[in-house]
Amino acid sequence: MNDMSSRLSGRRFPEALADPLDALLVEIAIRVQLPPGLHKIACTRGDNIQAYLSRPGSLLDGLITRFYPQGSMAIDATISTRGTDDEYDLDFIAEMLLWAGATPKDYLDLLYLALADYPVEKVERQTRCVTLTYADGMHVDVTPARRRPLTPEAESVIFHAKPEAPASEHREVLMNARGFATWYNARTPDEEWFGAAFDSVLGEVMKAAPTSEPVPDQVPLHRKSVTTVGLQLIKRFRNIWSANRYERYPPTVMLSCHAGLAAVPGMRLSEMVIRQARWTARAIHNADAAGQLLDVRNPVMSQDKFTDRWPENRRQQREFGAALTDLADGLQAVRDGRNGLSVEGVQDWLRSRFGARVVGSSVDHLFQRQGAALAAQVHGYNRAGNLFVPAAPAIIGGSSAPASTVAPRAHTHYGERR
Amino acid sequence: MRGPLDIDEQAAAIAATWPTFRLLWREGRSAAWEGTLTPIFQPFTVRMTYRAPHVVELFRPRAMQPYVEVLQPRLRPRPGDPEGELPHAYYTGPGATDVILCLFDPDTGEWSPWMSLAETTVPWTIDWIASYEGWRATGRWTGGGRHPDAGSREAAA
Repeated sequence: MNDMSSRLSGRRFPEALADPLDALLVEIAIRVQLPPGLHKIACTRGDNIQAYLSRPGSLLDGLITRFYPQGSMAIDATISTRGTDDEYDLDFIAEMLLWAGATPKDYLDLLYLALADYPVEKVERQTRCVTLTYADGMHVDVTPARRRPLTPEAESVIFHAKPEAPASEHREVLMNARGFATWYNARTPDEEWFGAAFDSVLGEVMKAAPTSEPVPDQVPLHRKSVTTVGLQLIKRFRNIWSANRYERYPPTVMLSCHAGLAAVPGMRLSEMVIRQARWTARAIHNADAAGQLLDVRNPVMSQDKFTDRWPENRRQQREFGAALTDLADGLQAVRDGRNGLSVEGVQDWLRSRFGARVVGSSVDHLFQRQGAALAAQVHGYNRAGNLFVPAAPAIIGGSSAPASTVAPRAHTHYGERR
Repeated sequence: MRGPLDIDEQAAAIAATWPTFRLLWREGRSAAWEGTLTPIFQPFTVRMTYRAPHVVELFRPRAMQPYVEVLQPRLRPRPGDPEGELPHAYYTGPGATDVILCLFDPDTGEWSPWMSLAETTVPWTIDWIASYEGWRATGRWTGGGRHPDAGSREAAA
């Protein structure tokens, strides 16, 4: 049990969905994350690519030393790609050992050639990776890497080589994606009190979807940290914010690093999203106030600069910082009831930040849940006149539904229709 | 046999259970309260008016029911909605928002003057507002209920 896990044991937690903003954010997160069935498919595809590269007769037979997920896939924080609601980008590292003196171009070209006939829709050589595009819209980036000898576990270099650029512009880039994932995962243990509630809503959504993939017998139960779901929401916000900005956008790994730094297990989801948004906004503000660009490094390898390609200038960082502050302020105002917004108003506000279709569907299901709870009389009230709809079952994994001020009773709305 | 709860008992229960409610006036067997309820995000101010019947009065739940009006924010009708411009309400005047909330079916025994308003009318008002918020946001009323036949006299009573 690591430090974070030991801090969680024995604690009692609030019911994860008792607050309507938390419940709504869970609904949104469920709709932007990689669905459990596709997660399984993604893992299988990774295994298949590795087997293909290592098969006898492959150009890389015997040269792949390790193959592992990186980025969002490694920390279970994948969401739909920018500009889509149902396409996903996944990343794997192919650690290779080529001949001494092999150049960045050699690594990238050889990987591309080894995958050129892979049975997918499209295989493309990129500046730092090879992208496989599947018919269902999934993109898998395979990034070649070389392990650095005599360094801590998984310190590596990846390769930057634009095909059309002269060799003098090609270079190696230090990185430790695996070490970062280990660091992040240690700071964000699964939170059963939250994961159970998350899974119960996820199960309802999957069963209700008319064209849903088959529901797995058992979705990965309780494997969620509030920090990671908060990160998925921040990434989705970044995607919507940047949808019509035709320039580089804030990198996922930077947001993941800030999420790991901001991690405090046991927080409500809305509090966590606000915390992460303010964390990055504050870092940007501090850098900008000093006349500098934001500089975020891998906590386990300081040479691994997460912000090497964004921000390109101070305008970019200032705009994103302001957008995050606006998000945090808005969510805080909804939480506090300060802006007096109706659900209709909150829905409109969220649509422009997390996407119209996703938010609309989330609000629909939120009220389906509410209606079902009212009919079954499993809802409750507090003395301030708030209604709460617990996850089912109401007491799971150290969380407990708040006691209701009065017991719900059956009643039938009636009245005339004009 | 124990009679209906009197107005003092009703007032005491409301004061003990719903601290955001205050007694506006009390006169004889009647009283009115005003309070704030925040079922989801938005606070709603409501007024509840009630006359506790005498034990010998004929039990007529429709006529005896507490009147609950939403004062703030003003309810927002949606003309042409299949649930009605405002779902599950009794109209008290010609205006589109001249309504009191219809919180129970008077023909089923769900409510009687023997019951505490604090345990019925107030939480049912929360349910109504929460369902109204959903109806405004999604176009669907998920709070359940039934409408008597359109034009029925009993609905307008």
